[in-house]
Amino acid sequence: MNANDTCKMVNIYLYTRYERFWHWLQSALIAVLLVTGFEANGLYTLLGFKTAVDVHNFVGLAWLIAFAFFVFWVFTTGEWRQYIPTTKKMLLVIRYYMFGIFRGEPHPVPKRTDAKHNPLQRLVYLSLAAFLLPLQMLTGFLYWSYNSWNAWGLGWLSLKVVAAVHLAGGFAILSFLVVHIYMITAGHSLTAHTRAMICGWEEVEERDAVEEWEIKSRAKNPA
Amino acid sequence: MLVPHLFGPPGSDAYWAKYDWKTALESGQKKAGLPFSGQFDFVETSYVFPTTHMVAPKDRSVSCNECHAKDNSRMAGITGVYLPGRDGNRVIEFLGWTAVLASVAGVLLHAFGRAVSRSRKEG
Repeated sequence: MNANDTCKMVNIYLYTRYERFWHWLQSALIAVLLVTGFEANGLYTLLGFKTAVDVHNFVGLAWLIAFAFFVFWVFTTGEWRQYIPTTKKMLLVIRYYMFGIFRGEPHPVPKRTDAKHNPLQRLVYLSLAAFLLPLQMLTGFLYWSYNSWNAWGLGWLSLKVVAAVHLAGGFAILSFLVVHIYMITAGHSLTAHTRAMICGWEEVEERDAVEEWEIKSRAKNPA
Repeated sequence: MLVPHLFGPPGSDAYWAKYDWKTALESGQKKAGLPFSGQFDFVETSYVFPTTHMVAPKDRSVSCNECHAKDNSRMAGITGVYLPGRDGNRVIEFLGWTAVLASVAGVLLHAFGRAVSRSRKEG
């Protein structure tokens, strides 16, 4: 049996215009940063060391500025509540991706406008947006400002350590990207998630109302 | 180790005025308040030039990757300083690629599983 046979599908507006713009802008920035970053680390020669470093620095600083707008957006719209971690139904979601998905079972926590992340996504995206990406920006900014360390009273920092943390962060982001790109195909159809991130609308299974714990705003009626 | 008096006006004891090491050294040691036996000799030393200066002509100045490179770096012998592009981190690189390859393998396996279960249902 397929999910399509058992469930009625509904179209919901999941991602606002800014959200989609931010997603694709950040993807482009991260892609360029990965390519130029690994070149600067000496993995291969593509643009040449100087160009790779110049592009990496420019794009990295642009990312810092653009990220400030994302932080503003996530707090002013209340969307940060979508990232509050929960263990509720976490095991059900893990079980689904380990077994249920192969049997065509419906997703245990389908996307809703006010709860677009399942418990596993909440945890992953919170770690990413609140820890890994800011850590990468911080170590990258420090790396870039190496010549000012003494003037800023940061002479005790070790470039070797900062570079190692920055490199480890790069690998973590690349690993995330591999899984993330694959998970795009795991919607109710192969392209459902891609379509949603381009147009904003996603086809999801119609199901009972969102449970109270999932809802982003407690002010709204939970039923 | 002796302190030579190198630069000075014409007629002074400076080396570049009289071209005489003995007077230049006497004058230098005296100014530094150090004793001088009158005997001196030269030994061979190596000197590391700053790469931002003394490179001529301008169009033949060194490019970044003459030092910032894994192979044949001009600074290959200069240890104790982290040089981006020359120095990586073998442990992190090994762990990093292991994580990336594990992700790729996991994703491929999962995709294969989905493809098989789907074809079974349809077939």
